[in-house]
Amino acid sequence: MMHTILFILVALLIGCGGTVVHVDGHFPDPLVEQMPLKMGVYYSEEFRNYNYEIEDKKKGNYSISTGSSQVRLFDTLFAQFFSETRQLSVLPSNSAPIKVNAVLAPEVEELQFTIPRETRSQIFEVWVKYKMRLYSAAGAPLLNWPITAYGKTPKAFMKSREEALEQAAIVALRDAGANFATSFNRVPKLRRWLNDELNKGAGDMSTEAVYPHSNKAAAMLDQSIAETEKMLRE
Amino acid sequence: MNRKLYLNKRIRWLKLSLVALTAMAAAVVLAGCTTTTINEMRQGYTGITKSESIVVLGRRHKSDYETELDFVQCIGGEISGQKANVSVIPEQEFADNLYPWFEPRTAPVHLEGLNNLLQREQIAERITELGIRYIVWVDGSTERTSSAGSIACSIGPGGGGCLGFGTWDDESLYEASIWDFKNLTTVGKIKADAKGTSYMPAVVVPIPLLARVKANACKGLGEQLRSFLTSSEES
Repeated sequence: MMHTILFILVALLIGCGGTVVHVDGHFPDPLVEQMPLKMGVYYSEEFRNYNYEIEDKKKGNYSISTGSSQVRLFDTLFAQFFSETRQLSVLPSNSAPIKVNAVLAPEVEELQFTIPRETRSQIFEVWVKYKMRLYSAAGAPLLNWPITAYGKTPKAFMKSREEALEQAAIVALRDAGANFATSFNRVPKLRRWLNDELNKGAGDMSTEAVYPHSNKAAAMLDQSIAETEKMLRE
Repeated sequence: MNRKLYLNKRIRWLKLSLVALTAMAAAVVLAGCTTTTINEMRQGYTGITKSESIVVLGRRHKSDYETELDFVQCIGGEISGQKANVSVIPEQEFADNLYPWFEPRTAPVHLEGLNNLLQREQIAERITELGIRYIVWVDGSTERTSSAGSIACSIGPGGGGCLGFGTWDDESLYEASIWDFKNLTTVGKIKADAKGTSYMPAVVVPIPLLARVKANACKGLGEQLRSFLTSSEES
């Protein structure tokens, strides 16, 4: 009897705790041309365990955790996008540089979502804004650029708010990957850095040994940029 | 005295049951009121061999609605069903195989975009590996256009129940555009428009009598697509 009462009380308390969404997404290998770059990848603890929480009188209480899924997304993406990646537990420093072209460190700048009650539409929406930070092999900040992502899912019969928001967040994460892959060589400041890095690679014998095609890389990059731009214009 | 009270109770229950049965019968008759209109526009020859496949994809780039995943799956099921022997690749499998080129942000909206995509060797190879012959883009949604009525429910120590009547109208509007990968042309467009009214009479227990608007739109559009794609006209 006591167990039953306890169970009911726990169930009621969980019911009052708001909406908890744990995003568990799995992402496919992207079909992209590999960049001849050796890239260090650093995820901060905050990024690995990212959890968006909101307490709103009108909206209710929500907790959306995307940490593990976004790490999985970027791991899959970077592994295909760059010829070599190296996971880092800390950012390199002047005293302890590492042998990479650069270090990429994504950060979540903002997450927003809407539910059908707010917009009077029949869809759940999730927006995520990432800031991609690029550091030198010695840990000096080089540049950063934003990656925005959007996902939506329609309200469906027998589908809970949790399921709908998780689905919208997975669509948004896939979109982040698509945005990164298609815009990487179109961000002007990144394009300049890429050209410099690839040209440097072409003249440097040691890098040439690591990347045998690096002398063709600059031309390949230009062709890839032209193709992507043409494709996205259509 | 007790017997009279018992009889009165019985008569009241019988009356209630009669009202409920009448409402149910009326609603069953009316619930069948779903109309589906299919329009086909052929722009080229079609036909498919056993080694070729079809993929049905939902358009998801508009901001105010989204083509439902279950509707796209339903269309795929209709095309491959009925002993048609047509291979339909699931939407998710196709999108995963070609990630990130068929996401809402990147999917080609026009044939020129597809042509440009195919300039990339990896993409062209992957599509050939999958044996895709036709891509069917489904664009549209099912929406509630109006609703009326009210149902009140109450519960007490002696029991509970509902009383009232609710009704609503749904409309499905979908358009399927068929692209031929082999010839890089649009071979046709098929539109499905389905409308229907659902009812919910509630006498003690609410009885939902749903108009299967979306299901009818899927069946109509799916059957038409199957006949369109498998027609024996030379390709």
